[in-house]
Amino acid sequence: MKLRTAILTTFICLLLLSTAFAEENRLEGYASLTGRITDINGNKAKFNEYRDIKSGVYPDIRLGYDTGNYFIDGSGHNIGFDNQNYHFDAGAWGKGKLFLDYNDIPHNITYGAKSFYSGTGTNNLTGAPNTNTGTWKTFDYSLRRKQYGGGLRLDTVKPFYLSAATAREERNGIKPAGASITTPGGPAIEIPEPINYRTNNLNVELGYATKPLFASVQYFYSDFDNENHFLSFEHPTALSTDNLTLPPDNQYYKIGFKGGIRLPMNTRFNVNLSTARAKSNANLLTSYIFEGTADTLTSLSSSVFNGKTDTDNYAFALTAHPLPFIDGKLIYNYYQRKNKSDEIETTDPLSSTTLNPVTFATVAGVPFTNDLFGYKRNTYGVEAGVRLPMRLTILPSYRYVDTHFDNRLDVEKTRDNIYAVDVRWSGPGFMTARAGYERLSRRIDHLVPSVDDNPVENIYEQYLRRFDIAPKDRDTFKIGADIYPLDALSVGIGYKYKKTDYKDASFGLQDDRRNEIDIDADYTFGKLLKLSAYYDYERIKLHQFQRNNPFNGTTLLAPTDTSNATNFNWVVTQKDESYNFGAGADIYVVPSVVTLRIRYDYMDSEGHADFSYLTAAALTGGRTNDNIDLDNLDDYQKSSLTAKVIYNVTKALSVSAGYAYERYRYSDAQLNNYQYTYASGGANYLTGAYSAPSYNANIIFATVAYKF
Amino acid sequence: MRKLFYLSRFLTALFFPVLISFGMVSPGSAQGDAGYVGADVCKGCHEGYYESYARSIHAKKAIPGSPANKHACESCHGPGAAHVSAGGGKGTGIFPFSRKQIADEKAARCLSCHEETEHLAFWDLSMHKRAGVSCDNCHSPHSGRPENLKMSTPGLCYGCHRDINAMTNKQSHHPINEGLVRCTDCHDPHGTFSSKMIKADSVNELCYKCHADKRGPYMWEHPPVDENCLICHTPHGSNHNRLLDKKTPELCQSCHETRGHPGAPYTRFNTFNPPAGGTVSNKLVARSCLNCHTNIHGSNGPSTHGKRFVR
Repeated sequence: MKLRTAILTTFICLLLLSTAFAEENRLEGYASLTGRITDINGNKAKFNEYRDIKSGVYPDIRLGYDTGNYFIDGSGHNIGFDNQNYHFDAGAWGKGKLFLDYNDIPHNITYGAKSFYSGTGTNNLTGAPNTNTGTWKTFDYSLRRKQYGGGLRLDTVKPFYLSAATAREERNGIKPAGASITTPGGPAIEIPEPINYRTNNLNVELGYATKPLFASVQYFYSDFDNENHFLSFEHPTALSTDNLTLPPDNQYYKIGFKGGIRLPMNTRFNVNLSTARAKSNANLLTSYIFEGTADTLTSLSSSVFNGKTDTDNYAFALTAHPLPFIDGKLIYNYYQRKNKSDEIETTDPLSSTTLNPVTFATVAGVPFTNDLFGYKRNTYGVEAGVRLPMRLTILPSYRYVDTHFDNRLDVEKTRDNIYAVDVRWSGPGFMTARAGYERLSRRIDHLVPSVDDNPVENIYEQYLRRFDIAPKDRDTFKIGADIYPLDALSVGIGYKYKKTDYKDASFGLQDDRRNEIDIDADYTFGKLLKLSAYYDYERIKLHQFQRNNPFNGTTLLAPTDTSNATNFNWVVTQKDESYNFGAGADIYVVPSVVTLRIRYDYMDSEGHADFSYLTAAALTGGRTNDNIDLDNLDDYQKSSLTAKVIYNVTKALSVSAGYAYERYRYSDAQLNNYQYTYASGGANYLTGAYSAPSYNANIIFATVAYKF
Repeated sequence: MRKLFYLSRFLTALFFPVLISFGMVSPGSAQGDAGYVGADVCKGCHEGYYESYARSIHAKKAIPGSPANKHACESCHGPGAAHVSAGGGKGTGIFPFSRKQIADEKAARCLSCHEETEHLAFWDLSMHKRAGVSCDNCHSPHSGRPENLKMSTPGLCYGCHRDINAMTNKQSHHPINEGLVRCTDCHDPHGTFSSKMIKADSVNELCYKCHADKRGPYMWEHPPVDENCLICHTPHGSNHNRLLDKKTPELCQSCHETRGHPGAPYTRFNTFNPPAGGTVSNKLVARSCLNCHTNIHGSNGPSTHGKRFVR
């Protein structure tokens, strides 16, 4: 409230001060006061996920004063609420300005979550587990970001300019985290993670801008500070303190140069060069609870980890417009991420996941190190644009991208060939039609790891092509049109189809199909009516092939090997189908005086996972290939209705009032019939994160606004 | 750097002859000083447009090179004498910035002043330019809005990017429609060197500006995290929580197929309320894989617990 008072006081002072000069100079702005009465049933956190709609009164203010040579401007929105924001700037036209910003960004996840732990919101959770959830303590999963910023811009020594900005973000709250309790695949516990982050950013740019040359150097520095480096919690079975590591403090800087020079023949050469470094450091745990029992690390080559990555980016682009009907562009981009972090050697006391390569027995004390992943990428491209008669434009392009990976187990290099052509036609004068096709063809240098290094995982690597690097053929088709047969009518329509075949993947994602249709229209009927409507449809279909338990303890089973009740292949096809429509009308009951605004929106999404076991013997315990599907994956319907009357009492004064209704229904197989405690490899404990997000809300509101 | 120097020389040497071979003149037309009638004449018929111009930044005499220091309305619309002589008329003897005009011709009017600023220095690289978008599709000096935008974002952007609008309506989304994140926080509509005109050299660099906690560098890295956030996330909106492009556990199983629990099917028989014969599985319910693998963006945790992102 102190901030709110300060802002209001500042505005009032500015208003009084500027009014004194208003005759000579220009004063403008507005002030509004909105009152709201809300009735929210159900999940208030989801309703207010990124906003703060509650009963009360809030002002919006903007005040600007302009002498012709100097200006000052300030505004504040949602004052006093969790999503309030303020902006202030002042300066001399053509010479420079100063600005200040403040933004409040809420992110509400789940209210009324509960845990048997004490100390939620801190980095020390204490308490033994129990199943009497009625005695658990409640808390809210919610984050709030407060962003403070300011900066300046100087143009006093043209063609040079200088801009500098600094910003600080404070992020506080609680978000859900989790931890395994015993062996891999065993029980889990959901724990509230405290968020107390501070990020300070500084951005400086010095440039020179006059024809034919533009050049600028930039410096960016970011410092991230996490108040909590570990989340200590009482281990539910060991009943001693366990620790979850949290994001480390880090520092990042980047130095860059951008430039462009106009060359003869209507060409332009552009360059972007930058180098950046990210650093972090973390104290490593010297002891920890290994798979549910207290233990100590057998070795750790260093108790401190120093993270360091360098990125270099060099981009060049030559653009040309040699003829009125031809455009051309040549590009080259080099990007490298070098991982220079510490390599730490460590061991497991006894790992059920580390196997003797000959006997397949679990072994203890086998040392291993962290992998220093990095990559470098070269991109070469050529684009053209040719304008033909009848206002037909053809835009072919080609790109070649090769990426070399450091220390990835599965791939050394990927090569992408990307061909595309777009066609645009504006011949009829009342429409622009577009069509496009893009083909991405990826080939890779796949690594088949040595079996001796890690017998189980490595053998399976020959069947895996992880979709981020997998060989694939991706085809994208697009077609669309913007039609405006009348000045008062515009219609837009678009369709996009994208299919991706991960053709060499025996396991994992093999096929991805996406369809999208979007239509919208606007019509203005003189001074009486304005109508708008839209419809969007999307269908996503993904297909995966998997094998259950390919290693049975003594033998590795390939996808084509004989299956049985425990070692078998299965497939899943995941579908998401969404549609979204809305319509709105502005009815000018008394033109320029009374407007009735009505808007309705509806969103519906249904997800489905269709499973098939490819071995009948595996369908045990009442399972059939017809009764194992998940029929509701992130199913939801959201509808909202707003009706509002706006009465312009004078040119300066307006009054509006209205009603809004919003309804959200959500159903998900992973959250329905939610249980805070359940058995799965042992006792599991949840806190309610993301559960039961459905709500419906009624809001009555009225606003008085005055602008000048 | 030496390699880069040679590379830039090579590119220039290779393609200059090609461009020179076109051997043609620039498309811009020289504009003489004759034929200007002055803003007062324009105001006589177009008072509304004139008033909005007068309130805009273009009318600031304090800004060197502004239309106010040139030919006011005629700085953009061209000399008006022929238009006046003809008795007016839309597009008669004047440059009206209409839909029927070629985008590059309209943009050239604006770029004659704005090209050599940091905002428009890389307009030639812009996807908008390539798509036939001109300045006046988004801006109007007569709009009276900040930055002369015809309407505020994101509505302005949604006018063409209908698919993005649909995504932002999904249940998991960045707070774009709530007005807390703007399209221009991530994208520069005037052109950048990067794909999708993002305001960074890579996707991750952009994301880390707000999500600095994900920046690490971590001891145990998850390779797709450091290569591209968009391998798992879709930034504008998703049906799935945390802006995931696919539902877990299937998202994770797309890559992780090995012995033990990663390769198992998690079906209706593993929900909180399974049919007879089923059992609840923590690999499916609640946060699925993330119930245990909570530090999926990277970990400094001990031994295999860190390597598998469970601590």
